[in-house]
Amino acid sequence: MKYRTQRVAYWYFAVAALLFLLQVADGLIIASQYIYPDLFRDFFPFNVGRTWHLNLLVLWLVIGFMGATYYVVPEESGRELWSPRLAYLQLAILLVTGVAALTGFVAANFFPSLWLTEGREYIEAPRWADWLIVLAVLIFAVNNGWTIVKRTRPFTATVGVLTMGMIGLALMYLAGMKTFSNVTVDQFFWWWVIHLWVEGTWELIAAALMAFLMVRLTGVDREVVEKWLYVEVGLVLFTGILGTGHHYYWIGTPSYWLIIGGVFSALEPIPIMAMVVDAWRMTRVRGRPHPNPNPVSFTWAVGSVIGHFFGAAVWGFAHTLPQVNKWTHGTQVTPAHGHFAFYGAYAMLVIALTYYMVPEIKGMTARLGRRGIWAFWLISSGVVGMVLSLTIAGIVQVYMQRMAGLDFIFVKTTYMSFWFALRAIFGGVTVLGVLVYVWDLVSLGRGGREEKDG
Amino acid sequence: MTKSVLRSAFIVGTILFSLAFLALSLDSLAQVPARTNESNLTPQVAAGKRAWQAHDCIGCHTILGNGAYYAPDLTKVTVRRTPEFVAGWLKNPGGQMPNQHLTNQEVADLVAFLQWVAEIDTNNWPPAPIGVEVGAAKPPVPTAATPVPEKISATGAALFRSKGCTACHGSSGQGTSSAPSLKGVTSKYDADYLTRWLRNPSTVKPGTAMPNLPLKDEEIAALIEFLKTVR
Ligand code: HEC
Ligand code: HEC
Ligand code: HEM
Ligand code: HEM
Ligand SMILES: [Fe+2]
Repeated sequence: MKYRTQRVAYWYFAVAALLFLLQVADGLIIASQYIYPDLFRDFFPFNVGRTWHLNLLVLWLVIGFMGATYYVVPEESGRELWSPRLAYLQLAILLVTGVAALTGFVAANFFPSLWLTEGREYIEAPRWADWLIVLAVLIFAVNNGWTIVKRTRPFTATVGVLTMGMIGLALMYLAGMKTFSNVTVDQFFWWWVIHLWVEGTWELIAAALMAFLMVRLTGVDREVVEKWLYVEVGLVLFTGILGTGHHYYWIGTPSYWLIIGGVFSALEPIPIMAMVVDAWRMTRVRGRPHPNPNPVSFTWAVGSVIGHFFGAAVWGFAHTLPQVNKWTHGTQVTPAHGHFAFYGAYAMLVIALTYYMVPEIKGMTARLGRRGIWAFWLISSGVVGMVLSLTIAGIVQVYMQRMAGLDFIFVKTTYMSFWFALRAIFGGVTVLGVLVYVWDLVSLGRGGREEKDG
Repeated sequence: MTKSVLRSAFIVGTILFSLAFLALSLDSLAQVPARTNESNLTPQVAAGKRAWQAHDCIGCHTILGNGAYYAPDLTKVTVRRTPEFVAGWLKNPGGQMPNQHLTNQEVADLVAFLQWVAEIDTNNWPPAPIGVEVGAAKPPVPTAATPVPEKISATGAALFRSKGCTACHGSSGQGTSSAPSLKGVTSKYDADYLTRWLRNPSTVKPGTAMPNLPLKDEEIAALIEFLKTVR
């Protein structure tokens, strides 16, 4: 850590980790409801738990990205952050809004109202919460923007791509603030938020942060990394923007999306493969001093590259062609991909950033302990196990329900139940891993203790 | 290539692809009113959409294939079942669906909404199961040509749902507060008794709370096959 104000990142990561724990604990509840539908059905039914799960996911990832940005921007701009106070205020606004919105979702189960939930996956947060989030994002933009304007060093590509990604993230959120009575139009713009986030703007943020991390962890030449950065994010957007069409096959939009969406989304794996090649090259840099021998962060970063590839590129491609998607659309195949891709591309990256930045902030230069590696294997095998269970459940569902025409609930309760039980068990492993992760962070937060560990 | 060339290519390309996407989006939005029969989108349908959101139905169900995977897709539910079935179900859902405590007005609005959704041109999604004609996406009724027991009991399972048995006896026949569990019922009674029961319960047990459901004989046979699997 070079600047004192980079410290604000610490609280962002701490909050993110706790929300992550809450997200997976809640995941375990809704996975159990798949097996025991009567569990908590009166006061915390499946739909409320699922809403928590998704909103917590987005909240902790965005808070993680923001924390990392607060760390990166001063370092790349060669000066202190403009206002650490505003950064803490912003975090407080996000946290209070988040807690209020989550409480509202529970209340909406008893007092259904559009003031408590908008009833649209991921962006259920009602209007008042939207505006508070906008306020927090504006503070974030001004704080970092002003720091970048007042920089003492040349503008770097890392900061440029990061900024574009953050602006894009905010703009796309606006597309979700309005609802339409025509459900087709509603879903049309809903995908501008969801798809253009995860397959567009978030990819920019992730690529920039990954570049920052790789330069620090491997000592690879910055010039080379940044050149590749433009190629990668360029290809992401050239394929991903029109790739939105893979969500416009069946929702009432014109049939030309079958071709446009099919072709462009089928190309989306190319930039992801480029990232794998790039990372492979970077990790094999030899003969350079390693500025931060941080095997834990490095393990998570490499894991993220691999998870991104399998979760987004392989599992995404598997159901993106219209001929396949016609059968798999809206089955368990979709959450199999959703879990793998979110975990690989974004969750692992935020954890890698946490493991690099928190020890830096705490002034720990020695090697970290082994707990982070334990957490890595526990969480990863848990998630991969869940993904494989859901994939099989999805194939069974496609075959039995969609192709053979058996009733949904019959297939769910007879042929798929084994895989749902397996998913819940692997979910338990995941929760265990996240507990280890949070425990590790807490002891890192107390400072210095781990330094002596081998 | 230098970094600045690549940067320019990135920026120019992004702008071009965004413009192409915007142009296609405008064209799509212009076609949507016709493809979704927007002229039938009455204030009642709009009210149904708001009830759909306020009750967060999408937190369990998919619609147009998007949403949660816990409960059946509702895009064509008014066709797969009937509007009357849906209205009755919403007032008093059974099986795994918790009661949403809807007012009569909300039920009517939601049915209107779902009926309107069923008419959207979805490029023929969901596809009819293999071997079933388009428009007849219901499970085939058993005939002499489908004697495989497993298949019959699966069809029986579908009938158990579609004839509304689940509404009283629960999603898998486990029983609810309004009707007994059917576990082991086929060892309690023989097929002959059950056939008479299902043809008309009140001839077997006058004054019973189980209604007389219009069932064909082959449907009854499939249902009994299915009841054998309820344990
Ligand atoms: C907590 C989850 C949950 C919520 C919330 C929920 N449902 Fe359901 N719904 C289910 C499940 C599960 C089934 C299948 C029930 C069964 O057969 O056991 C179902 C079945 C149905 C059916 C019958 C489908 C068929 O093919 O027979 C309709 C219609 C329906 N729901 C409409 C709605 C509407 C409208 C709402 C919002 C007001 C809603 N549901 C909210 C879980 C839910
Ligand atoms: C409106 C609610 C309702 C519906 C719909 C319904 N049942 Fe019943 N069923 C009952 C009730 C109540 C009983 C108990 C009757 C009694 O003992 O008087 C019962 C009893 C039975 C029994 C005898 C159980 C025993 O142990 O005595 C069978 C078998 C049965 N139902 C099968 C079915 C099937 C198959 C269907 C669908 C075709 C169906 N039921 C639909 C309410 C219903
Ligand atoms: C990191 C990147 C990605 C993430 C986080 C991600 C996540 C998701 C999620 C969460 C959904 C479900 C949305 C819903 O709730 O309905 C989804 C759907 C989908 N994704 Fe991805 N995805 C990513 C990349 C990709 C890529 C690269 C492809 C294609 C090559 C792809 C193809 C699809 C398809 C086809 C669907 C629709 C599934 C359906 O029809 O039900 N995804 N994705
Ligand atoms: C304890 C571990 C977890 C369990 C048991 C779990 C369980 C679940 C369940 C039951 C659903 C609802 C699926 C449905 O609608 O039917 C869900 C959805 C989802 N979860 Fe998890 N989850 C866990 C961890 C995670 C993690 C670590 C991530 C991401 C990093 C994640 C991301 C998602 C996403 C994106 C969806 C929406 C999927 C879609 O709409 O396609 N979950 N999860
Ligand atoms: Fe997508």
